[in-house]
Amino acid sequence: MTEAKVLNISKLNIKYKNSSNSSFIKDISFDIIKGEVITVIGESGSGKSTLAKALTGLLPPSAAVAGNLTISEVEDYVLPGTNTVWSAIRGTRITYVFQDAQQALNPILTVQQHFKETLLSKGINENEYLKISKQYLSFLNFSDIDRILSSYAFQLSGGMSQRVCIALAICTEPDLLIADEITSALDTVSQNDVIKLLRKARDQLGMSIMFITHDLKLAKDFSDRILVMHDGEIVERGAYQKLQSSATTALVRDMIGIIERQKKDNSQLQQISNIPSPQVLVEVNNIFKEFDNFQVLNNLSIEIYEKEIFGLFGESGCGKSTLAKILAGLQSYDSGQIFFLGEDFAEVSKKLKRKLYSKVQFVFQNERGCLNPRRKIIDIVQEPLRYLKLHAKDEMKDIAKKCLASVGIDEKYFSRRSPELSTGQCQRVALAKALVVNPRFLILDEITSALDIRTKYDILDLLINIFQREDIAMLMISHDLSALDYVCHRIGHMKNGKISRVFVGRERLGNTISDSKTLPY
Amino acid sequence: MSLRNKSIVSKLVETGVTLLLATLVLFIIINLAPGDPIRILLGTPEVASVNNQVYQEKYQELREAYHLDDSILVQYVAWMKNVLRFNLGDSFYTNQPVIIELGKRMPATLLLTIPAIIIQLTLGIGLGIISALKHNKTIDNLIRLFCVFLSSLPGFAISLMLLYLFAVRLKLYEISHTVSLMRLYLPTITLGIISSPALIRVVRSNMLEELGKQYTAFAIARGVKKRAVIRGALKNIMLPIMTLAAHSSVNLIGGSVIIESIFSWPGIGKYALDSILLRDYPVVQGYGFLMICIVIAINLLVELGYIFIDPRLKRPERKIRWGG
Repeated sequence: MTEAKVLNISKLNIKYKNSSNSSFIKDISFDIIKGEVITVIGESGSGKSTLAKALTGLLPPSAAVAGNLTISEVEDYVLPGTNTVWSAIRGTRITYVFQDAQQALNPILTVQQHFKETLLSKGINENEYLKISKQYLSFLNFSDIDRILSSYAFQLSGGMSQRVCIALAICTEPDLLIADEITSALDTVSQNDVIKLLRKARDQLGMSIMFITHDLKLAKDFSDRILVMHDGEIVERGAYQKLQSSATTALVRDMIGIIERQKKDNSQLQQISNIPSPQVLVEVNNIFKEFDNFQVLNNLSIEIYEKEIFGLFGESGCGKSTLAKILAGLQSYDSGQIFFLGEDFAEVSKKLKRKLYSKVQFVFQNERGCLNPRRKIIDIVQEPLRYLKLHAKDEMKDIAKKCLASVGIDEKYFSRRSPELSTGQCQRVALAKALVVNPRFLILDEITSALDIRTKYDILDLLINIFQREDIAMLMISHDLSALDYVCHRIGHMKNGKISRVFVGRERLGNTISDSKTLPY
Repeated sequence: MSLRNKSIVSKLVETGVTLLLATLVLFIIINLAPGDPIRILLGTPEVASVNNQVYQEKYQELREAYHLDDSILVQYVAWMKNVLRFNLGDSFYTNQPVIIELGKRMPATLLLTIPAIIIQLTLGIGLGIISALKHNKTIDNLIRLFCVFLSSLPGFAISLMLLYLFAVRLKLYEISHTVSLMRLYLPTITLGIISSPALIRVVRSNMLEELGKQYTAFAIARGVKKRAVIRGALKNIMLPIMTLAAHSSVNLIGGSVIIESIFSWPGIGKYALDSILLRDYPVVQGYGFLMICIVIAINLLVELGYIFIDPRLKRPERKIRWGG
């Protein structure tokens, strides 16, 4: 590897104009060598995305940026650069790829139109852009290129859109690709695909990659160097081995500790793995569901026992969320039967159905989006009580308070609103909102996938805590096997609209799926 | 049948049903309105005829001739049959077919409103985009001030002000009641300007939203030129723009009454107003029918436009079932 520096940033300081406190990013300096993969890791809010956006001039005007940027050791710029400077840098020198690929593509342009606007902006003429687009799509392992070119974002899966985004980002041959959490919204298989492709781009095109993640495990396998960020500062830097042996900060030790603990065994599971009572709580028999001539659920049957956490995983689009919505009564099904507490959902009276459904609660992935930003969280948690009229009016507030306290929300947050809370806290409030009506069955749809690793384990520990305390069964849907492994008694693998296999206790611990690389997809 | 064709066919069926219902309501309302058209046609008995017997016979004869004693539904079917043969009846006053009377005045109204719509779209989209791009800068504030100023004044006040300025003070505009290009520019510009603030606001706020979305950031980050970025965002706000433009063109065509009266422009709106004052029912009915057709046609165009502009509408919606 040549030691040519693609980028050098020195004394980067960023401050938000309307906040009175000191800089958000403090005195950051580092460089990136040609062909290197450098990972920036840190908890949410540590400033990693802000840092990355500063390198492409994408920060909002309210951010005051200062520092020096040197590109390829010759081009010196004083930050914040002018528009002319940035339009010379973006695309040609540095490109930025976002976390949510579906959102990063213009919903009413086809993939081909995306390539066209990108390549034409870089001076490539009308006749050649199509050839280049095809070349890069095939570089990213697309086989039916013509279909992809004429597709819109909504017609592509999460993994495919992310590959399209990468193709768009590298088709202008930048020196540095900034990949901001690009794998965290993907299932494990697509995640591995994307990582492989990034590696390919590095090896074959000599591109440097700045990889931003909260998942140290990914960083460990993939990167040459790791920068650990905390509160806007780089607190540790070096290769994983070096961090493992000589990390001094508690944060880094913690993160490494979690990875190493995952490897060994699962202490938490042992704690709760008393055999669930064989009483069936939810019984699903031969459910079918079709969307646009596509069989989403195909003769699916499962039983979930009382006092059990049932995990469900499978590729994106295999019908996990559809099943969850059907169980919660948010979606209809074509045929089949669902029994809850021994009652057939389709046959009971409207009144009883309402009563039964109040015992089923749902927590969504995008917890922030589920909380009304204009209401205090104490009111949000009381809402289900009011609708279901389970308690006297004057008791509701106390019940809500108790419930919030039980999920670990401090009293001083009770009258705040969701934008003032962290993602982890929002997830706790969402849980409290579901638990406040004393449900018997809790459906958790990807509730940990947007969280950083420490918060994720906090929430999982909270779930175990709730489980031990309450008389409750849970269905936990996730593509994160380590999370499922951590809390579930049984884990079902969903494929082609049905449960293809259920892994139970010991069998699972016998390493069938504990290593995510040998997934039985 | 493809999904796109399916939705086109269902839109056309919807349109047919809407047309029937709207004309039925129009027909019933006009028939319920006080006043007997035959008496109006014949004049009151004292004046029209010395012999009441003759008057009564004539009255009955005409009522039968116009099927006024039939039930309202039978009358509606008869009227509809005539309408389908492009026969909207004759005006009580000129005895000319209504369709010809309306047809004579339609070009003047279109001559007024089509350029006005073009001015509205140009101003609305142009200033809206500039306002969004220069968010919270001086020019944005000026544009917003302009919008507040225009929308807080009633249209007729602005018209009168402009008329006074151009015709009386500057003597650049001729006050008469003829149709000529030299008499067109002032009402057109006035109509265009007073209808633009709503569009400017819609374009500005939608544009700001789109420019804040991640696809815009990604386009900028991979070096797409500013022009192309704006074009991409603009395509996404075509739906609200089209909705508003359609809505306001209906308003402009149907509601140009005031402007036409102020500038004494012999268009269809002024004619309708005069006919209402004269109780010329066939004309009012015909005008109502024409307006219904225009509204429905514009809405149909917009909905078909949606299907062609937005690829997502090709996919049927996934409906949430409200359980419980």
